[in-house]
Amino acid sequence: MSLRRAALVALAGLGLAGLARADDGAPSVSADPAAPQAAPPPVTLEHAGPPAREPRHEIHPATPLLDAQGEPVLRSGRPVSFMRSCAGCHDTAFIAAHNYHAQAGLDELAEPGRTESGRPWDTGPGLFGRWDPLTYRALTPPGAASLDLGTAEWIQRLGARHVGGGPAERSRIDGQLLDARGPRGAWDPDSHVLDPASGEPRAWDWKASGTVELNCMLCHAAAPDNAARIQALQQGRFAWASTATLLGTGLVARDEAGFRYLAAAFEPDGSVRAERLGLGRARSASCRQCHGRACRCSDPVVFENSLQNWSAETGGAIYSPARARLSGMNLAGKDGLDMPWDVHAERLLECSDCHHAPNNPAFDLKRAGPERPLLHLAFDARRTSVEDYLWRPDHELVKGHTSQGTAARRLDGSMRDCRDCHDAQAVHDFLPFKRTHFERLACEACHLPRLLAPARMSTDWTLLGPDRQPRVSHRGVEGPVNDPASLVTGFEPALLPHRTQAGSLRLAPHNLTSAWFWVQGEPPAPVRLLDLERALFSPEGYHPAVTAALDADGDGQLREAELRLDTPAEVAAVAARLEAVGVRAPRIQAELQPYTLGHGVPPARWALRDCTACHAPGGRVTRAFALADHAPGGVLPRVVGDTRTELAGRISAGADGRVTYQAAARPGGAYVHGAQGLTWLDVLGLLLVVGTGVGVMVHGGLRILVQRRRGRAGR
Amino acid sequence: MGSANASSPGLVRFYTLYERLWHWLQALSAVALLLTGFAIAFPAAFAPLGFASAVAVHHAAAWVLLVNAGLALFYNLASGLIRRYVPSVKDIFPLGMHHARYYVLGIFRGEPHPFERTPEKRLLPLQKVTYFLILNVLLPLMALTGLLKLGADSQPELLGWFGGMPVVAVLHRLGAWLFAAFLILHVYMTTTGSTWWANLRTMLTGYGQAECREEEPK
Repeated sequence: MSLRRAALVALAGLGLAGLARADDGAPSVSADPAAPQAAPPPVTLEHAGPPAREPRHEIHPATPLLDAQGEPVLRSGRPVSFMRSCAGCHDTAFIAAHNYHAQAGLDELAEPGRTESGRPWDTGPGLFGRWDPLTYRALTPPGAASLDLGTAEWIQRLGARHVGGGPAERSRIDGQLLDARGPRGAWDPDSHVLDPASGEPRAWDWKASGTVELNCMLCHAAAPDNAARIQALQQGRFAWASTATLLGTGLVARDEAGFRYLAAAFEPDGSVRAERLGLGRARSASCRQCHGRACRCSDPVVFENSLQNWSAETGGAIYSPARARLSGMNLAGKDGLDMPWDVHAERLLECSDCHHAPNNPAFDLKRAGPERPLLHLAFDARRTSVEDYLWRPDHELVKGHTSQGTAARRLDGSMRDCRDCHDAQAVHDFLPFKRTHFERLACEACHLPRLLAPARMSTDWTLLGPDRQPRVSHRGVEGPVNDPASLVTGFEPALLPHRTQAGSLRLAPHNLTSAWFWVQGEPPAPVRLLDLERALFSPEGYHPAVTAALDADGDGQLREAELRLDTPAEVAAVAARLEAVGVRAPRIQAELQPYTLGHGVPPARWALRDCTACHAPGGRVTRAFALADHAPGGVLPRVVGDTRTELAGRISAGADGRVTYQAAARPGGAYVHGAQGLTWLDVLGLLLVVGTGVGVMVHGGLRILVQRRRGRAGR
Repeated sequence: MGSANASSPGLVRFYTLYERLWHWLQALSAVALLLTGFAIAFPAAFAPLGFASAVAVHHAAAWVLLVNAGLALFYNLASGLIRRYVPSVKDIFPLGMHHARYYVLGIFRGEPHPFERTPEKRLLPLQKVTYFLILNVLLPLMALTGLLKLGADSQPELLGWFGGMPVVAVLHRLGAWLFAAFLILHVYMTTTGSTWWANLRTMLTGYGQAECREEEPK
């Protein structure tokens, strides 16, 4: 038996042990058949008894820590390479290639403007190539006239939410390793970054920085030091990012030069025991590092809304088993919120239980998945063997279909959805027209009636605050977000038709975030942040021309309330400043990005059961949804093109300037009884009925009158 | 002519017990359907009824009305009484016009009812025309669209053939408004007998005063 095979057999044992852990600590069952059989308590953190035993990491063999050249790091002192270290047992090249978290859209790049989003400046659907108004800086495509965000700076700014590999390792232009290529022409965005001082491209020294290879430990180590990793990325020490992740394991320490390895923590042969790394499958905490890292997910839950807590910021979702009423947040009606932040987290589901590797043999292939394989098979016994799976675990993790999950759309709907685990037919006896409801509604439409946390409502990049940050507003909070004194009210999501992979439209809960920003030129592209700052600010603060245009009370200062572009004169003043710093034809543009919500699901007793919540005029299906407090420049947002969410209603600004989305009367073609309100038909019908009533009353009245007259005449 | 009422001389039997039960059951069902239908269409205005219970009662009442209508159809077909409901051209013109003239003018002038009303000829010309439209157009329309809506869950394809819920629901709603108007008119017309309550009493007791003309208007 080869060494690799022996190791894989051992790993297979680890996998099976992991699968079997659900039996650990199970409550004993009475042997007396006559004894009353009480219903077992739900398996929750509260009822699971003693904590589950840690997986037996020792089954995983010790791992040699190697550098990119394959030398033990203890000997070379160079940055660790998990792509080399783990390759002895796992096909890391395969894993990096079949991994949309690593590719981040690199494998789906297109010419600018040829993407589904419809943005002329987008070059792909992923984190690398698709512009996000929340983070603003636009990745500059090859051949662009000016540089905004080059690849190296993309890593520095957005690498915190990227696992490495893909565009952080290889050039999108020629596929070469970034540290092994020179610029194409005078400059290209893979070899240059924007020099903030000069505003001109500056060559990036890839030899010095190295590249960011796929960081296995970010997800598979028990306690990766993500903060140190991010710091290394921001400092441009890309190659050391993986090594920084190991801080805290005792294997690595900081020193003046960067990092040094601590030999005492290594085995005599230079390898590292699995327990020290805490090797195992990706845990929810691993995912939280990028998708919602600010949530500590322990009692009491305390979180903040920021781009570091992405899921909460974009959708108000907190994936935590902890009770909301025990949280440290100032929640409205907190005492009554005796519920976990997410019932699936409470029931011990890890993220990877739903978003698993597609070839993980522990999970059946989703029979209704995008490829719809072998629908006649209730069970397909042909699975990847555990050995083969551990050798080549496909990291194209199965996913749902959301508005915002634009990367790897090929995998949309590949994950198990609610109905694959829950038999909805069996537990919705109160619901008339089950099939219709189930076909037309995502489960979350009723089971996610309210998000407890605030979420981003609008982002205004047309003016920057004194901190040079955009003007941001949130829904679901009274007062400034993240202010402990603000009351967190949460919000009811908008029910919008979202197109499933199968092509049907289902009403699903969404948060709608709008963004206003300046674009320039033709085809348009966002004005560079650097130029925006130059236009708005002088060394002393706001530029005098900007202050003069916006200073409504004439005190020479710009207060919070004055930082908005309402009038054409104000817009023109800022546009003039932008032109003064070289921006061509600046104008305001706005867009609307829906975020499909699927996390933060409360227990079923909190689900929506009131029919009139939807089946009423102004119900959830047809009600207006607030988008922003005002529309900078009077520009109304347009929906981004790649969301698969249908917004056929009307976006408008009211007399008070508030921008709202009024849902269509029949969203997605769904006729919702009771929600249509008074239609022209009802007006006609009402006229008919009232007319008939008036007619008979007049006729009857005349009869009475005539009869009385006749009676008097008779007397 | 129907049998005379021994206790009330001059009264004859217009409606059998079954006919009266049938009528009142249909009336109850129709009212329930209208009320619950409006509760479904305008839940905010009929909040006390509750949307879910309105849907349940609506479905139950619809089945009662439908089965009752089916039984009546069978009864009238089997007995041949269906002919009563079939208007002739003459029933529309000139008799219908004459009938209408009575309600527009004659009733105020104290003229006698222009048509003989006996248990055998209980439906007058305008009634025949109205019921013909109700039974052949409105009721089937409501039944068909109602069944299509009811079957939306199990037979969505069938619903699709008829234009889907947006079309079917609108037709059903149109029918409901027409039915509501008919109901108002129908109740009012019961007051146009020999006394305000004569027709109502006939439908309650089965017995009423026969109105015989020596010659019907031409």
